[in-house]
Amino acid sequence: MSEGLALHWRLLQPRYNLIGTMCGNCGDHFFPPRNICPECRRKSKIERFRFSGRGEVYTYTVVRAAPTGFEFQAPYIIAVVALKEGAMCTAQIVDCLPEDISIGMPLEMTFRKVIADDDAGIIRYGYKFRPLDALAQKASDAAVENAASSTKKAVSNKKSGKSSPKKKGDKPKKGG
Amino acid sequence: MAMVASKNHTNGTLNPNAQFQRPFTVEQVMASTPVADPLKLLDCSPITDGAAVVILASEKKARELCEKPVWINASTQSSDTLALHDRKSLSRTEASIKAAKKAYSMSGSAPKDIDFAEVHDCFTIAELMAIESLGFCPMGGAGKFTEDGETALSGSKPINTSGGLKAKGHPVGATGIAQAIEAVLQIRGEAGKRQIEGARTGLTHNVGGSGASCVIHVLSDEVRP
Repeated sequence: MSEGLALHWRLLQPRYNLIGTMCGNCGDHFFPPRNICPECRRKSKIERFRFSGRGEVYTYTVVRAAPTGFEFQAPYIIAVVALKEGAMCTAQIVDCLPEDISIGMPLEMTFRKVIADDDAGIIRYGYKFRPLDALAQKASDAAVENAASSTKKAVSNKKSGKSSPKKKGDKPKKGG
Repeated sequence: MAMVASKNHTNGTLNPNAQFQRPFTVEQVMASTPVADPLKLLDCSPITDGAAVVILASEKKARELCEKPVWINASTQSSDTLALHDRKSLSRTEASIKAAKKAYSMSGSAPKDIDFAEVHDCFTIAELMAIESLGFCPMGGAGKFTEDGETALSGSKPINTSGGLKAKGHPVGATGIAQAIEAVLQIRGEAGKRQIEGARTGLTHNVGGSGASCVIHVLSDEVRP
């Protein structure tokens, strides 16, 4: 499981911040990032896209015989996570006991240590996911709704104004 | 899945070249060490050292050199995304389905014409998905097909008569050729105790990268189509 430092370095954006891409032509989201949309091909309009980090368990397994470097974590959960925006990714699920995981469970991204090369080697960090607890979910849903309604207001204010400059509404997200 | 392991280990006892030549019961498979749910140790193919070789020749040369040449009637390949999370469905292996379709059309045959098959049972679930992809049973029907004994040596569609990757072993680079060798032995009637009576057409199905690429061959005792 030794992976080049340069490779890790190039993948920092997706690994640290869940940054992928989306196709402006069809609206599909890609994680890890793709440079070409497999549907639109030459018509693809690839843009950088930061995923919200919310999603749910699509499927999972519990790893009991772990590969080198992960032995001390076994048993641990590896899941295919369906991200809210549509893409899927494979990740470890933390803060959850193997007997508590279920398909469809709401998740959020969390930033964790993944593996250390050796005692003096580099430490690799990256995304993992954890169950989204109900209270936090409510609060963050409300925040998202608030943000959405306030931008809607802003948009409608703008619309009621003279002209509405046609710009793609890629509103900056608060928090993350 | 445990029945797949048990069946392939039983076939392995009849293959003097198999890595494991001892039988395992379904209960023993179920009771083996868990690896990654729901796979147990005995659902997984082993790490194997091994070598395999076949000699390829033109039709003319083959007839000249060999009393019982076995003919390659189809050789096809297909691919899919490497990452499981990029696939549209986790319960279908598109690469195998496409390669199988091409192989049947290239050899002018259908699943019912195949007397036996060596499929890539790197894990027991892979054999179930393979026999569905190859059209031996309906999608989702592999479990019942196996339970009914159809894939056993005495069944209507013997699968992995050699013991498969599970029991014969999985020396990765040599695995595909080893499958072809089993097919040749069966077609020539030289498979010893595990010989299927009247085996004339066999199929080999080899997979790489969790189903990301699949290669299928149809071998037979006559040149077709």
